[in-house]
Amino acid sequence: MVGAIGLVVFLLAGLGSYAFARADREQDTKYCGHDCIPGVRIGTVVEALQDQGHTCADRRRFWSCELRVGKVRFEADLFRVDNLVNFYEYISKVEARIVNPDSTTAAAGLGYMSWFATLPHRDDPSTVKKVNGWLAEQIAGDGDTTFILDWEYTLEREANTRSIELTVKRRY
Amino acid sequence: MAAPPGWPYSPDGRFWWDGAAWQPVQPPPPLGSPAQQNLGVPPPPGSPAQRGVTVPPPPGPAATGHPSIASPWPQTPGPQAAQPYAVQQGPPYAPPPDAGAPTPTGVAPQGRRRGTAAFVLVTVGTLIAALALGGVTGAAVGLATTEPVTDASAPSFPGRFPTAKQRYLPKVTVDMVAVNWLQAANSWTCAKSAAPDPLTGARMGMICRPSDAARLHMSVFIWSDGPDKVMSVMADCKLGVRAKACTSLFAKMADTLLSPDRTLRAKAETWAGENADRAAVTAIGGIRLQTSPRPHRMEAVPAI
Repeated sequence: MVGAIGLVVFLLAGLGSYAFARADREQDTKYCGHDCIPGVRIGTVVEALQDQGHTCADRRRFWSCELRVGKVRFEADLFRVDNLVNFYEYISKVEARIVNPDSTTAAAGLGYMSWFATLPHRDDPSTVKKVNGWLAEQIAGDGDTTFILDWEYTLEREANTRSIELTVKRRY
Repeated sequence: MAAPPGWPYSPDGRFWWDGAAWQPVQPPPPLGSPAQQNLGVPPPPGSPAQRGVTVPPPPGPAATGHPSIASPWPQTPGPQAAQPYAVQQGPPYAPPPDAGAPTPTGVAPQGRRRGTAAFVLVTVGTLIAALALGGVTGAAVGLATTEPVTDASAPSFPGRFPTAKQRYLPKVTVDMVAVNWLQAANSWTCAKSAAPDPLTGARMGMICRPSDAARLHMSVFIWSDGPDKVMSVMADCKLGVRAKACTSLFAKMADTLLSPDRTLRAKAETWAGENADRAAVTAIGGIRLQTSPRPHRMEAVPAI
């Protein structure tokens, strides 16, 4: 009798903890090395951009995606983790550029750069908000470098190429 | 409790002689009373005397002998002998002093309690052990058989994220500009160009010019990916700033591009006429209009 009750309790506890552990595991993102954005492959990001009509090409060390609207060019280079074979298909660095921006493209420019800038923190709303706040300030201003958690953000305004460029990479 | 057969009773029948001491004869307790639990439990040998409550004093000096040797009770009980029995008028029936009673009838209730306690202990212990083991095992299996997320879906795009749908001028077609406006109304001629535009990335280009002498000073460029995928329209006028022909060209171009929307076309035409000779930019109906005096141009691209 006691043995039967114990068996039932054992099974119920086992099922419960199994379901809990499984659900918890499925929420977790696999560590992909120090240099990369965890939990999302470079191919997934490229496909998402292509679905939005961006044209992408594999340059071996990185994927390059582009969209032109009038004279304005939106360009993004997604760099692979080239020194770690296991994480080769993950993103180690992002360079997003807007060429020929003007006052009428500010909102689209912010939306474009925000998507790349928040990729490492996509599941962390408070950090996403922080990144977007910094980005909005820099796009309206002259650009700067900042560190948010383990990531380094640099926004530069290039007068020669009439462009602004955002670089997102791991801090060292 | 009645004396075993062959042992003597006191004259009043309330005690019996066990060979060493007087033992009370216990009447049966009322049915269902707690004392019933102790029914049939005799006091342990010698122990009642130690308590001094349930055991009366020996009825006489000769009480210490075996009944076979000497009679244990006085033949004529005197006041002294009767007094101890009077003490027994109180409750002479105490429960057995301890669990060490040798008779099996006294072991049963306590043994039952012990058995119940042991059962509860074993059951609780088993449940706790099963709970812990099951929990640990289930968690271990869950963690071992479930992979963490290695490739989640890409995050959703913000509302202002640029898309390919924004590459083309809304509701504008090549024919609307080249045929309806320039060729039919103004007798311009248009020529296609197969070369892609390096600036907009358009696959096809078309350049339209007036048929008369003004063809050297005025032109309209149309860049597109298809008949209804116009990416950019640009009017160029070399007649000089403040030339009415240039102002008219720019105003008519704005009117044509916004012609699908009656309320906006007049607004666009007015804006172009007022800003034809200076650098200005505006967005009307999803179309971005930009003018510049040098070179004297007006360009229309999608507003984003």
